[in-house]
Parts: sequence; structure tokens; C-alpha cells
Amino acid sequence: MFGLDTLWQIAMVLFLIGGGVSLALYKRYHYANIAGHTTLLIGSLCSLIVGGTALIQGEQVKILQFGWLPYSYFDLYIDGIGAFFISVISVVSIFVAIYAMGYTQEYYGRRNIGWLAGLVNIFVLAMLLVVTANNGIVFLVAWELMSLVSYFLVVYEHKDAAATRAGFIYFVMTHVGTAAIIILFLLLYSVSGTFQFDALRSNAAHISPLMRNFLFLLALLGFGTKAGLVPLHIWLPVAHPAAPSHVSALMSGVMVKTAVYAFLRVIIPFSADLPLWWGSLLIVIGLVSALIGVMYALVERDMKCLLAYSTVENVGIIFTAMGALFVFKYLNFQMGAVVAAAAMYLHIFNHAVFKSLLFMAAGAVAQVTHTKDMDKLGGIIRKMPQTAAAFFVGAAAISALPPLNGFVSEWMLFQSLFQLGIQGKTSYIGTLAPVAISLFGLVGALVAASFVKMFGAVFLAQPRHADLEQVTEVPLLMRNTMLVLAGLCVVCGIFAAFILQYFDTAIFLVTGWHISFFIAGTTLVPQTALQLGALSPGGIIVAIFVVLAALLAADRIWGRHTHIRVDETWGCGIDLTPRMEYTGTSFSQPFKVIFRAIFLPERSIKKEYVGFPYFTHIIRYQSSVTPVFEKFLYRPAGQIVMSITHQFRRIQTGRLQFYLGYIFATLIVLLLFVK
Amino acid sequence: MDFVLFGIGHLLFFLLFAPLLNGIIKKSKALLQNRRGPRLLQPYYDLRKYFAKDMVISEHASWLFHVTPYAVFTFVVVAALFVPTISTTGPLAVYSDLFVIVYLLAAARFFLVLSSLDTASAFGGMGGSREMAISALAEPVLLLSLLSVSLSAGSTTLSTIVEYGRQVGWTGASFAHIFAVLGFVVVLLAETGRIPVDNPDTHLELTMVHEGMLLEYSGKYLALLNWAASIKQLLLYNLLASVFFPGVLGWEAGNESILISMLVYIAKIIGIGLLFAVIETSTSKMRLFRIPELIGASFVLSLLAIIAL
Repeated sequence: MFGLDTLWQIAMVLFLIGGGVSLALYKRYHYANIAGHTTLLIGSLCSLIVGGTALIQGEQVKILQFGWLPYSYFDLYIDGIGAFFISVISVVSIFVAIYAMGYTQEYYGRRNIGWLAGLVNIFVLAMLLVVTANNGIVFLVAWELMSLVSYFLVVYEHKDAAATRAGFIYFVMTHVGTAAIIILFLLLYSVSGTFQFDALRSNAAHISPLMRNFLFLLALLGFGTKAGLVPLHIWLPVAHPAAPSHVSALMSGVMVKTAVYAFLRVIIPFSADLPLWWGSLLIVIGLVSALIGVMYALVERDMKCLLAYSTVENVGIIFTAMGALFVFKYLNFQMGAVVAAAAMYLHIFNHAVFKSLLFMAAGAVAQVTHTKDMDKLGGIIRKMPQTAAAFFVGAAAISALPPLNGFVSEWMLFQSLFQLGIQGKTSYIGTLAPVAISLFGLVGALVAASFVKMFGAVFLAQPRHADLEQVTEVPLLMRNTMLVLAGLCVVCGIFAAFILQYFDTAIFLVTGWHISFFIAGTTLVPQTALQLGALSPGGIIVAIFVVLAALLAADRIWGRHTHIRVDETWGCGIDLTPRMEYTGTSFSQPFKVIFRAIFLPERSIKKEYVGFPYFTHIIRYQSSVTPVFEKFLYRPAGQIVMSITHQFRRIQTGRLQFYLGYIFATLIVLLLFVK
Repeated sequence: MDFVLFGIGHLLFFLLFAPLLNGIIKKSKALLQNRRGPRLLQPYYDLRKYFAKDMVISEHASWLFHVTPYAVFTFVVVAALFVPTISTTGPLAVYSDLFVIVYLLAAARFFLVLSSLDTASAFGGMGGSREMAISALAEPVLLLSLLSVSLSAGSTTLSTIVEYGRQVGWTGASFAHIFAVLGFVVVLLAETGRIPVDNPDTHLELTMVHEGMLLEYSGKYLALLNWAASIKQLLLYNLLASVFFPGVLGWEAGNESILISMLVYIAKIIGIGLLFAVIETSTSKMRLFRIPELIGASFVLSLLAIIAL
């Protein structure tokens, strides 16, 4: 019988083979490309079948169990939560595999394709192991493997100094997080006597509240680093852009979600009896991350940095939904908990879809134009129409325009926060929730502003550089994946209700209740009565089509036959040059001024003139945003660590007598105390 | 069948009354400023003129430029279909979620700002970036003031909120309500582009936000965009009238007081229009970077409305 566990094992073996074969074939780069990415594609298809079946049918799949490690055995297990994350990882990696077949052609002859394709296989394998690990040891091994492989992928362009610096920062931050996670698991072992995850739930009741709070904070620190919560996010905007674009898509779309998975896995066993402040802290941290992420995205010039900051923002949204979930569990309010869990899961899936689409499109543009700087691009919508169209849909989806998928998950988040405002009227939550809704409205508007800026600066208006005349469309493999993902954004928005029904197992495992809301066709009704709040993406799209059809019909029937004359844009009477149009930086300038308390912008304008000051002939304009977290948090912290370690250098005197003295002293101490 | 007729009537009301509302506000502003002003029906004549004229399109414009007028008009009309006016029942009533309305208007704005960047003109970029900045600040206040009434009603569906307001009547009036109304009025100034936020009558660089985005449009496209702007204005005034002042009479199917309720409703809308004409005449346009202070003040008012609930 071809069981799911066999299929899973086949997938894992395929990834391993893909890794090995690509590395072996590194000299024949074309074959390495095809081999590596085909194994990735087929392996991901297999894992999608496994994950999807387990999720839809609610099965729990035990995959492997054999003993080879001390204190534990190699144990993989898929339950509802794991199945959901496996599906998300697999969906993204299927598209990444096809995209990469076209994208890596850029590196032929210049870099080692075998290394790239092989590492991507191992990376996806590591992420799948992370979400199926059933005990702490396997989890830590898989987590570390995932971090190391992604480090090597980030520094793939090792000749570029920025990429190596990015890799260094990523390496340090991820190990800070891993240290916290190791401490977390060791503490869990010491209080419950086992590393097994299933035993956590039964042992959770025995852990004291103080220890529970400490474990919660450790988990937040450890997994928050990988997820990119503020203020632990500084590695995200340097590491994600440095990697090749399909790897950035994997990292942004999927790897940060494994941190969300891990947090859920560790904290959910405690959710039967959790304090109110856990949920409110998550809501506040999520809100702050969303605000900071989108604000820094607004003022970014580099396309991929903007997308990375936007990932920080979306992770903030996911953690807010999680926080709302925890507060509802505290209040024991079933309807709200289920809506919050649905919002969280739906946003995880939707963000994976549109963020990978956006990174792929940005990678396509960067590949043909050889620059990631928005202010050097422009006007390529005619040269790359399909990429532009796919990017447009992705930008509309992430800005939460109805009826696309981003809007549906934001709406579910708003509904859960609204319910929180009603249910929590007796405590501070009753004010926190509406304020959170309004600030998420601000976040949504700022996201729309950043993506309007990005689309406008990259694709619209006139090209700002003469080289852009030679730009052509990217290969078919890359275009097709982007267009299919764009279609997926639309479909997942309209048919979100159907998709949500499949998440029932995952929601049940996290909240303890099944989906109780009413789904009729494409209408979602999160409350029990129809009047209390309903969303019908299907209704919206039908209304849009009807009105548009009526408008076009009216235009055809009653419209006057007018001519269209094509002429130059008005430039106040002088010839219009590309220098006159707004760049991305100018577009975000009002925001820099309005939010100057956060950005602390610096600006210098120097004019050089000939003769009188009225005849300026050169103006040098320089504007920058202070990196607040690096300057006020990380650099002082780094300096403190360095000064402490400098003090330790005093022991290294270089003289033999001191070293002999150290050995002697240690010997005395051991003899005295080891008795 | 009743409902279909009512729906068509609702849609026709929005399409046909919106330019008249614009005309009423312009005429009252003129009379307040001791001028004769344009005739009341001038906006209709303007629309007819624009539809008949040829268009001049920039050579840098892409498909986005041509799609935007239709997209903006569609999004605004779909939002207008969903808002409750005098009736809270009907097949579309349950879908009138306030977030849907706000985000449909945001979708219209998304298209418009992108098209303003499309023509490679500096005016478009200026109008677009200012519009995004002002609307980004106005959005939390909009949500917060609408939330204060929806939290008391217990639902985000606008028809439920209006129904609740109607049942509660005058007992629902409180300081929280007044603060929420004040906050919403400031948001209306920002969203409809009136003094002190934006000047709808000029095309000067210093004062244009909405007009800057429309600068490169002409002919049929300009007619559609202007019409959509006036429908959006009517939609927002309708929110103020129906949600915050749910009114004496509503119409349910079979109720004969439909004529009276329609007249009361139109009187409310015209009253709001006159209020804005007075506000526009009595203040001057604020400096662009003072606008966040104004919107910040209304944010605090709306926050007080939530806390005072």
C-alpha cells in the first residue's frame, strides 16, 4: 500500500539525491540546473500531496522512528499544524523550482550552479524536517541545518562585499535566536523529562507559572529572531535581498513561517491556562513590527530591501492574529479564537503566495536591468508587460485591495480584533483592540503607498537611464510561474471560504474548537448571525463585473466617437526629460517629513554657483534615514560586548609563568571542590 | 422585485444626485462669498462637455492610464451600491461591511495614484504622493470613528449599525458620539479634498492634491474621474448622515413613508453639504505639513470616543 509515509520518504530521498547530483554535476551547469530543480519540483509535489491529504482528511501521519541519538530518537510526525505548514512550503517551492530553472541561467559560466541548486534542495528538505520534527533534538538539528544552508545561500555571491556582510549579520542573529531556543528546549527537558513534543501537552500542567512566563519570553526571543519581529529584525532587510531571488522568495515566503510554526508548537500546549498579558504582548509586538516594517519599506530605494521590510510587516500581522487568538483562549470565547486562528493561517498562506510572486518579479527585473535600485529604473512596463502585470497583481494583493487574497486575510484579522474589542470591554483590551484596528488601517495605507511607489518607480513613466532601452522580457519559465502565482492570488481571494474549510484540522489543534462559522458559497460569516459581519469576495467581484459591463455598454451605446491624440506630457512649456518625473525617493518624501520622529532623516543640499547665487549650476542633494535600531540598540550592545571581551584579554599575557600559574590554580580548585 | 427596483433607484440616485450636490456646495460657497457663482446644474453641463470632447493622451502613458478611469468609477460605484441610504434591508445589505467600503475606496485611490505616476509629469507625482500621505493619515481616523459606533452596535455591517442607531434613537447620543462625529468630519475634509486640506477649485502647484492626479486626463476619462469623485463625496456624506445620524424615518418594504424618508434624507445630505461650504469659506488652506496635526487632533478625538464608550 502506497501510504503517505512512503510518499514522504520518497520526497526526502529525492531532495537528498537532488542535492548530491547537482553538486556532482557542477561542471555541466545546464544539467545541474535541470537535475537539481527537477528533483526539487517532484519532491515538493510529493510533499504537497502528503501535506494536503493530511490536512484535508485530518490524518496524523507517523513517518519515521528510529533510535540513533542520545536522549531521543529520530522521530518525524505530521499532525494538522505540520500538514498546513508542509502545504505552504511545498506550494512555494514548486513555483520556485520552475522559476529557478529559468533564473539560474543568468549564472551559467559565472558561478557554481550545482552548489546553488543542491543547496536549495537541502534547504527545502531542512524546512520540511523542521515542521515535522517530533522532538526537540531533531528540531534543533533541522533548525540549525536550515540556518546554515540559508547562510551559504545568502553569501552565494561571495565576491560582493555587501552579501558577505549580510551573511555575517544573518549568521550572528540566527545563532542568537538558536541559543535562546536551545536554552528553551533544555529547560523544557528539565521540567518535563523528555524532548518529545507530544509529551509537552501532558506535562504542561506541572510547570510553574513563573517558569511558563520565562519559557514564553525565551520562545519569543528565539523564534522572533528568525521570524523578524522588531527589534530583532535587522538581519531580514540585509540578508533577504543579498540572496538570489528565488532563495529570497523561499526565505521570505516560507522560512519566517517556520518560526511561526515553532512558536505555535511550543506555546500551544500551555494555551489551556495562559495569562492575558501573553496575548496582549503579542498583539503589541505585532503592531509595532507592522508599523516599523512598513515605515522603513516606504523609504527604501532597493527593490528587494523594500520587499524584505514588507515581510517584517506581514510577520507583525501574523503575530497580532496569534495574539488575538491567545486572548480569546484566555477569555474562553470560541468564535473569536477560531476567527483569529483562521486569520493567522490564511495570512500565512496568502503572504507566502504574494511575497514569493513579488520577489520573483523583482528578481526578473533585476536580472534584465542589472540593478536593484528603483531610482535608476522606470518605463519598462512596455518592455516587460507580463512581468509588470504579474507584479501589479502582487502589489494589489499585498495592499489588501478587494477582492484579492490579501484583503480577505486582513478582513479576518480586523474581524477578530473587532470581536476582541467587544468581548474585552471590561479590561484594557477593549481599548487596545480598536486602536490596533485603526493602526492596522494606517499600516495598510502605508503598504499601498510603498507598493505604488515601487510599481511606479520601476515600471511607469520614462526610463531614467539610457541602458533601459535594451531591456527585454524574461524567459518563459520565469514568466509562467509569476503569472500562475498572480492567478492564484485572485483565486485564493475569491474562493477563500473554500480554502478555509480545509484548514479545519489545523485550527482545531491550535484552538481546541472546530470552524463554527457559516460559509455559504463564497461568503464568509465569522459570527453566528448573518448581520454581524459578512464578507463575500464572490459578491464583490460579481458586482465589479456587472458595473464594469454596464459602464462599457453605456460607453458603446451612448458614447460619442471621440478621437485620441497622442502628445507629449505638459512640462510647463519646456522639453520633458526623465529627470523631471518623480522618483521613488521623491514619492516617499512627504512620509519622511511626517514621520520624522521615527526616521530621524538627515538632509544636505549643496549648491554651486557661477558668479551670482541665482545662477546655480550644480546642486548636490543627499538624504538619508537614520538606522535607528542599529544606532541605538545594536551598536551600543556590540560595543559593550567588545569592551567586556577586551577586559578578558588581560589573562593572555603571553608569559609562560602566568599560564603555568593558571594550570596550577585550576588543579587546586578542582582538587578542593570535586571531592 | 421591490428590491431590484430599489437597488436600481439607489444606484441612479448616486449617479444622478452626486453632481447636483457638487453644484449646491459651489453655489452656496459663492453666495457666502458675496458672488453669484455658477448655476446649480453646471456640473451636469460640465460632464456633458467632457464626454463630447476629444482626448489628448501622453505618449508615455501605458495601459494603466486607460484602465484607471473605468476602474476608479467601478470601484466607487460598487462601494456606493453597498452603503445603506434609507433602507437597511435588501439583498446587498448584509454585504455592506465597513472595511469593504473603506478598502474599495482605497482600491480606487491605488489605481488613480499609479496613473498619476504613469505620465512622467512632476505634477502627477506631486499629487499622487501627497494624496497617499494624506489618505494614509486619514485612514486610521476614519476607521476609529466608524468603529466607535460599530462597537456599540456590535457589528461591522453598516446596515446593522444604522438599524441599531435607529432603534436606540436619541438615547444613543453622547459625548463619545459627538467626538466621533467631529473626527469623521475632519476625515471627510481630507477624503473629499476640501479646504483646509486641499483646494478643489484650483490647479496651482501649491494647493493641488486631487487635481494634480487628474491633470493629464481629458475628455471622457476626465468626465468619469470627476463623476467618480463626486459619487465618492456623496457616499461619504451618506455615511455621515446614515451612520451617525440614523434619522427619523427609514423605509421598509411596504411602508408608505418612503417619500418623506427620502426627503428627510436628501435634506440631511444637503445640510451636510452646506456645513462643508461654510467650513470651506471660513478657513483657508493649511500648509501641507500642518495637515498631520489636524488629522492627529481628530485621531485623539476619535480615540476619546472609543474610550468614552
